Amino acid sequence: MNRRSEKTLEEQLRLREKILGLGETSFRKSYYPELRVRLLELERFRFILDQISVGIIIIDPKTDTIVDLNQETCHLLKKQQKELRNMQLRGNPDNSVAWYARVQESDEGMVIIDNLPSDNGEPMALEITMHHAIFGGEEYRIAIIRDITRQRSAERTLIRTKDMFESVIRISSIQHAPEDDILSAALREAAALTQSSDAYCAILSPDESFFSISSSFDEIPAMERLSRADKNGPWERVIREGIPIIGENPEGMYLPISEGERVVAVISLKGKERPYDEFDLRVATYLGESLWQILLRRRAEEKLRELNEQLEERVFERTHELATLNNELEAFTYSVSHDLRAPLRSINGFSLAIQEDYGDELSGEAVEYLGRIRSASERMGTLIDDLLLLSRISRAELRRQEFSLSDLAHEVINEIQEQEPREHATVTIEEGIVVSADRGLMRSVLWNLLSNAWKFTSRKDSPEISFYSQKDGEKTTYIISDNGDGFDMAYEKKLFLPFSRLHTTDEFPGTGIGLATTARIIQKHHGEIHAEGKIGVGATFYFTLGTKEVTEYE
Amino acid sequence: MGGAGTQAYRHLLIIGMYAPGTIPFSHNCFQFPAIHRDAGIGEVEVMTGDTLRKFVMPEVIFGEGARRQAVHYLDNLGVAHVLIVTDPGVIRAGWASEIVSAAESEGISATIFSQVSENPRTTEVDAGTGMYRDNGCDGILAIGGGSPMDCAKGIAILSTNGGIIQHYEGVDQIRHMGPPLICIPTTAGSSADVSQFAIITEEEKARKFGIISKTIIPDVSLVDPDLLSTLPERFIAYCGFDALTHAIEAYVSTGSSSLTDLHSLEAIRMITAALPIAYRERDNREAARLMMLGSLHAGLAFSNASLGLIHAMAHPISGLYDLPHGEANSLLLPAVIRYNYPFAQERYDTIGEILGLSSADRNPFGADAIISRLKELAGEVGITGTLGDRGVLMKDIPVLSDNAVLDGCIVTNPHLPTGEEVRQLYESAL
Repeated sequence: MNRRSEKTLEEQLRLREKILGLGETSFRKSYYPELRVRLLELERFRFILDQISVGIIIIDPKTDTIVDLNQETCHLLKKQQKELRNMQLRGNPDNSVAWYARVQESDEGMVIIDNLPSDNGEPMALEITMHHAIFGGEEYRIAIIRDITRQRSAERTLIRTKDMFESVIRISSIQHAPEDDILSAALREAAALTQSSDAYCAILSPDESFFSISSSFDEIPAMERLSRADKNGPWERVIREGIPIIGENPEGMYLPISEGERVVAVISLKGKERPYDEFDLRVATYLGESLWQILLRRRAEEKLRELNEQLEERVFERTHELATLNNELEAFTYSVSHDLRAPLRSINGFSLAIQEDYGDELSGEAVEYLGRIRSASERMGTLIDDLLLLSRISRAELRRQEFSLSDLAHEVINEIQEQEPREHATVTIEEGIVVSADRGLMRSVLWNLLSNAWKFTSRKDSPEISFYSQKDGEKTTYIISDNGDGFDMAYEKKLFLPFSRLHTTDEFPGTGIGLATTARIIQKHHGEIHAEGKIGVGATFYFTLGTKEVTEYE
Repeated sequence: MGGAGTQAYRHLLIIGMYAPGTIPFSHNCFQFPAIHRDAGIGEVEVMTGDTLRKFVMPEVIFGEGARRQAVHYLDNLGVAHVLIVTDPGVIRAGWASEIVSAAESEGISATIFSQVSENPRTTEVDAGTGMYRDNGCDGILAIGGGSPMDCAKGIAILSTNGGIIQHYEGVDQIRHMGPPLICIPTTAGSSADVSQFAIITEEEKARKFGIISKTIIPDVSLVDPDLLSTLPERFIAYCGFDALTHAIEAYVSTGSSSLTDLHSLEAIRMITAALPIAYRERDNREAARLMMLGSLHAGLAFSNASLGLIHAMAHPISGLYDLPHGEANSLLLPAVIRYNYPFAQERYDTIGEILGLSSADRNPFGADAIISRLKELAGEVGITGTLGDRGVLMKDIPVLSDNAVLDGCIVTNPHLPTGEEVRQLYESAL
């Protein structure tokens, strides 16, 4: 004993107890606890099977009897467990199992049973599939029953919704038809969508005194098309209250079509075999409202089309008038200018002849008068030339070519210098400006603008004239500025009108046509021109030249 | 034999009434009237004062042709595919194929697992469990000696509890009971067919370990004396002495009760009478019947009363040396009886009486008389010599005794020896 402690001895005693079978877990082998666990598992599985919303039936194929089933099966087949268990299925007259023969005959092992009575009145649909299974060495048939009522109803809703949209698309794509045809086509669609025999539409007149009636079938005789709106029928009630009527009349449904707050029409449907339901109402309302929108749009389009036609006609007429007037004016201008030249030449020629042949006989005063006649007739000649140029420009064809506008400006300024020499004038011309334009016409432009500048700087001690360009992106602006007498900006627009002069001829000579011609040339180039100025400070003219491409499209 | 009946009530003991270390275990303390209480079929608890006793056994069919009942039991237990655990010797004798064809004729599939060596190994248990699972078996039938039956118990444990078999070493370590297990012993010795023990060898550690649990008591034991006819005579001797040792140790065990005493004494009586005849005359059916029945009684006794120092010392030997268990027992018997005798003198004298010592020699017989009678019996069946003759070495004794002290069997020995005492006992048996 000396080797063993007290504790070891206690351990030995405990071990001895256990060996003798007196330990806590010294139990004899028993299958009961294990069986109980397995049974609980099975019961739990059975519980789970009873919770699922699918009916399951196990059938013995040898005897065609139900071996087992879950709770949902009872619910779906409206039977008690004890009624179904061991039920013989082959040839059973009971309606709730009539599917058995059908599902066995079907190739895919599946049948769908429709229109079964149900608790809430909605017809019920079941899908039953048959499977084969081998369990514990025995063969069984497993029937799976699913309630597909909601699925089918959803499918139906989907199909009807699709039909509804297709109807609306069909109605809205009717073209070149009278409104009446569209109305009866829409009513036929509404009748088809709701399985009705007839459909009517009563559109309220704007003063709300009568209805205009259309129907889904034959045209209503004109006599009966209008109905007073002060009776007290269902249409009036719907108009008044703005809410639909379903089922009061067992075969009819009335529904309002509103435009904003106002009820504008009533659609009524008749002759459906079953009572009208919410879905019929939704379909018909959607169709009706779409129809109304289609009608409104058509009316607006019709009005717009009429207005457009009128407008085009007026524009054509006015354009024609203007063209005629323009031609007449140009012809007039040309002939007048041309015809005026002969008498003018006579006046000038004979005035010169008198001066030369009879100058000595005439008094100094008479000679001076003759001089005035001559200078007036010469001015008039110039005026006529300018007018001819202006009218020619209007009719002339534009011939674009690339050339140096800088060189042209030098050329022009030299000519001006020759005609009207001046000592203290500073002319600055930017070199290398190349443009694509009509060289002859551009010469007139530069001539007009530079001679103007030359002219209006004549009273300055140190006149300055410059020609340059400014590039802004694609657009180039050409600028001619001077430090001459300038002008009042209030008259800027008048500058470019023919015969408008801001100065007297005595102050500065000129015909008043030069700037109008210039503007016309720039216009012909699809460019723009404007001027800035201040009295006593100077004037600046800005112009652009349209591109070649634009011109070609002309 | 006359005193056996009265003695059955005489040895009841109370544990814990004495200060530890004084008189811990003795058979001659107080005497209480036993209260028998029926605790269910096959299980009787014996209550004595503050000492409880339990008796558990399988359903047993004894008699020639009992093995043929196996198919009925497989059927009744709902077994569809049985794993038959056996060894090559039993297969050669034709017993396994007899079971297979009987089962198959009843529509029960059968798979044979026979890779079981003399001392079943952990790897063999694993292999058998794999075969059980791979074939989708749902029941086990063991036919053979202690080895296939212990291996079958191991397979039963792993097939429902998983893991490795070493996890279940010790007492009451099994949580889930195994599948139905039917045992058909072919030897008259191990009594694994009725016991709550399974002894498995862990080769890597060169050790044996015991699994003790009421849950591994087989469901059915079919004890058929016919099967002894094919057992080699050498094994008749070893197994006979194994059974005899079971009976003697169960009788002197501090866990014995009146129920186990009946079986112990009946076993000693039958085995001593039949063993020499069964050894000499292989076709003596009566001797075979007595050997089988004696072994059964011994099994019922030790499975419920447990064993003692002989087994505690024999287990380490067969772990270290490949020595038949029964042989090791027979060679340890003299030394242990000599040591134990003073602590259970009356019980040993009763054994001596059954062994045929005359009443003139009695009062008391003394250890030597009993030992010499047992040696004489051993001699008759060809077991002579000592442990030293069988190759047990002096240098191994410290290891052997260290393991013996830890062996579960030691706790029901009439007296708890010290390690030093165990060493001396090994030496004297050398």
